[in-house]
Amino acid sequence: MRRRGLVLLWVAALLAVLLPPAQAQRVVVLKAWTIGPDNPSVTRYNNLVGAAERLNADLRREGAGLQVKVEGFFDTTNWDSYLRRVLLGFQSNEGPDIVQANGSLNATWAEGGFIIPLDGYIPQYKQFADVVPSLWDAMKYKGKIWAVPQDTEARPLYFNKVLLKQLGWTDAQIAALPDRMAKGDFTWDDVMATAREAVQKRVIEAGKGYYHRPVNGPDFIQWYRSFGGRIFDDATGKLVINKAALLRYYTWLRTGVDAGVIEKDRLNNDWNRFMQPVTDGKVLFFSGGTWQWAEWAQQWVNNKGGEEWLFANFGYGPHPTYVKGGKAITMSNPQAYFVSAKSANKDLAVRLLAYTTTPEFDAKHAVGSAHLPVLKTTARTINNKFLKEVSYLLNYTTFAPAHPDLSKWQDAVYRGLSAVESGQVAPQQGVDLVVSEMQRTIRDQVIVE
Amino acid sequence: MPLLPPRWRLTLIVLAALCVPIASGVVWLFLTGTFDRVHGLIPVRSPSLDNWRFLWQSVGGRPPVHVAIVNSLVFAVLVASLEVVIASMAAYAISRMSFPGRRLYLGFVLVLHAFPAVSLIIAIFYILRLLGLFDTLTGVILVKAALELPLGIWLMKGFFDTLSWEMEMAALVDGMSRWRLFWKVAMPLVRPGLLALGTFALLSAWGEFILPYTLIVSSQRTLMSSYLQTFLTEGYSDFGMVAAVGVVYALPVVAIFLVGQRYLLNIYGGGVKG
Amino acid sequence: MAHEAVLVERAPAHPRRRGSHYLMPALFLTPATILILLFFLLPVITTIGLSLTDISTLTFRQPKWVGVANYRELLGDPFLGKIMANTARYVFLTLLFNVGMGLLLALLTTSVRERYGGQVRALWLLPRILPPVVYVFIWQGLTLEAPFGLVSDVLGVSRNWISASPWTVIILANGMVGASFGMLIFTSAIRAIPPDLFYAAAVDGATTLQTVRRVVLPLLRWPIMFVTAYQTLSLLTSFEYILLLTNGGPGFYTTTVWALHAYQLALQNYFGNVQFGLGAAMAAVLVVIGIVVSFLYLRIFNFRALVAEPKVEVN
Repeated sequence: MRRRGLVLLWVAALLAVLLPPAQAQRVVVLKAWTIGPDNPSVTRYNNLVGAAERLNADLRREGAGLQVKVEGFFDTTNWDSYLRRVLLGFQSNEGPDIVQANGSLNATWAEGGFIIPLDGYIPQYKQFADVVPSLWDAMKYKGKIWAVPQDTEARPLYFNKVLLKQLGWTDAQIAALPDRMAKGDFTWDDVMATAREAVQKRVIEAGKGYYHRPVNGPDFIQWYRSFGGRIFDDATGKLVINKAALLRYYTWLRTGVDAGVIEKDRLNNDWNRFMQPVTDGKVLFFSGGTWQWAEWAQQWVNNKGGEEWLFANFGYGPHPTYVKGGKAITMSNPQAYFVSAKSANKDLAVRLLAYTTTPEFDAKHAVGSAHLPVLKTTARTINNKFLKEVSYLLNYTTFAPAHPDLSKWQDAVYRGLSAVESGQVAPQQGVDLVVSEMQRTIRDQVIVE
Repeated sequence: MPLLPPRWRLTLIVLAALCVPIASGVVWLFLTGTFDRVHGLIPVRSPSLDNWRFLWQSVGGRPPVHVAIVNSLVFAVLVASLEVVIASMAAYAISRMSFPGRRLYLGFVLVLHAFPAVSLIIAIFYILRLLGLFDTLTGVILVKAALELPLGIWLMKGFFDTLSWEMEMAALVDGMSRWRLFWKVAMPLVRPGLLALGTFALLSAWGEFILPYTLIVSSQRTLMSSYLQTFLTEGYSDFGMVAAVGVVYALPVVAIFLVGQRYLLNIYGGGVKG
Repeated sequence: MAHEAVLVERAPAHPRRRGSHYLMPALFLTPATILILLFFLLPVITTIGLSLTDISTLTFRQPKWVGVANYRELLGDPFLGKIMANTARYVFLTLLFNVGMGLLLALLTTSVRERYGGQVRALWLLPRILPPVVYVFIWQGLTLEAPFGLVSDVLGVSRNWISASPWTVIILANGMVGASFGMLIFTSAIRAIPPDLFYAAAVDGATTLQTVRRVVLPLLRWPIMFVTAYQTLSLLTSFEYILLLTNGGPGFYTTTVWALHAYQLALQNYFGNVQFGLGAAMAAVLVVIGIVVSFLYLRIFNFRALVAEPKVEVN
């Protein structure tokens, strides 16, 4: 009896020495909502999970007694439904802690009180110092920084090299095209003329001369700018709509439709009607984004040779301007991680974001989804052919202005564009409609010139 | 018609032709799910199990499919049960009881039956948020059951109307309470109606798209309709896999349909004999 | 004994029984009443209420009262006419298909052996009971370009038919769902016609077509009117299949109908910039039309007539 008791005591003592102290490990759940909608961008979510592992290792080392668990989703549907979920999530008590979305939403969401400014946190983490400075500027509104840049991209004008060759261009001419676009030597008129020629010579079908995105989006700002318009007045901080530039843009599109170069119903249909003809090699010029390169390589042309096929068939350059000698243009619409104002774990959330903003995860996302990296280190060390070739586009890039009514500006321009392109109204009428809608919804925050 | 027209064989051929579109659609779905791509209705690749991988792994950051299936099942069963019980109770009262305002209530239900409930979705969204039931299965269940009520009450009233008074009198004289009478005597006698309504409500809830699409945002509470729809919106449409998901989603419907056609065909003719 | 029981039941109520006379019905009716109040009455009032505010993404928590500003904005929209024209076209053409096909199917399936007729009716019920997302996906698959799309293969012309003729697809897709309603109601009505009329017509030497025109159709007058009226209202407010098939496109408001536009304004925007109040205003118009028309139905149609013996009138 006593012997058994002694044995038990020994065993207990042994266990007490050998087992690590039972620490009350609190698990903090961080809810993160992310979106592509392109499938390759799933790293936007996975990187957070990976960063959490690193963070947990450090937390264990620090003996903090807590671990972080990332829960949430990666949305592959579309921006409409995602943003609806996010906005409702901000207003409920079960909303997300971290939200990834367009950085340009910072103004609207800051005004709505949905997010917190991060200026206090940024100096605390050395990872943030590595971010390209212009991206921090893109996150600023009213002097404060509202989000952590997640990625950036450029939006080139792609062209189909094989079709140009069929049109009679030499290899040298094709190779020189991006440069000509950059220098302002190949303007929108030249694009139209080339496309017209291609339709007439039956190198392409009618309507496949120029493709642009089928739904609303940030890109329309860059095209409006490429026709000479400005969108933001630094002095007053108001939005601007330049009637002459808008008219030029709408007229160019309408001319294209009338000439059989652009499809009348190019807008308001689904992405498959953009991707399929483009990757079938049937479209001559198409405006897109660098991330589509990854989508095409991984999903659309993966059984035709993937990236090799793309390099052989597609070329890219910055978007031309409307006047010879003008400066070429592209647009970057950086994605960013926001922290919700209702989050109960703001400090931890920002720390997680710091762990995500490292070259390891940055490169993984950039290479995997053909977005551009946000860190200076990554940009220096990355070894991906496509990314290297398009990085010069950043010299021509522009950003969307930070203004809470920006989306109303964009909606008005998009509606006018839809009406003009589909033949509902003439370009001048379209411009008038846009102006009156802006004056009605944005009122005094828009300057009409 | 009691007398078959002389050229009924021709009629049969015309009918067969009219059935071709629907039949080809269903066949196309099953073929695409199995063979990945079909030209018209001719498979062009060998059957691949790859299309069905959504069954055992999460695809592209979506929640696992069993979450959606379970949610849809719970939703459908609860809606159907609530529907059958609540509609029957109300229909029994309208049909078998006299109380002031009875005609008004019936008229009201009939008006609601014709009323387009879907136009209220914007306000329902707002109300659920106020009630704190937004983004909950409970909320959507209540809304769906409510919106189907007018049809349910109309249908069940038709069935209750056909019950004989004598039997009820006898039971009441024997001292049975109305409540017990309802459950023990009346309900069993209207089984065909209950089955018709229950089947219809079950199927209607299983396929419900616009309500969960608008009223549910979290992925843990997603239903099969929204789950399938996430494959169709932006991004690459992997037709084979989407069809496979579609097959899984439509399978219970087709199964119930094959087994319970009779009940369904009763849905608009409640109480009509012959 | 039974007689006495009847007399007792039907006599003017004894005070105690009068009390319980209301309790029982109340018990039975309460759950339904609560749901109807919450999700029919309250939303009707709320729709109209929301339409009088400027509620949107940013003002969700503090909407401001703006009176009829939303309605004025609607009327000032240059494209409202197009949306109304789309709605009229949608309702009219789909109704034609619904009633026409429903009638055709009812007549044909009752002209063959019940075994076959029942099967055909059951098959035509399938579009209605298939989940809308699956049903639309099937349509998308069948209307692809050749060689994938069956329609393109059969017609020999390769198009993405949803983009090429969106209206045709929308009307057919909605029509195939809607036809089953008329089909079932007309079938019941045909089945309820006394056989003597058919025998009489046969004895008189009437052909099938004559029998249909002279015997069957006149007796279907009321059901046809009912189905037409009922489905007009329901089509006016339906948009789910259009949302899934084309979402109002392709192009600019090509297939946008009133109900869809209301939904888009209130709940769909690329930047999350929804205009809830404006959408509610459009919905409010539909709600008011719905209430008025529903009451009209109540006056014009005696719904009971459908579940009782039809009047026997032969011209």
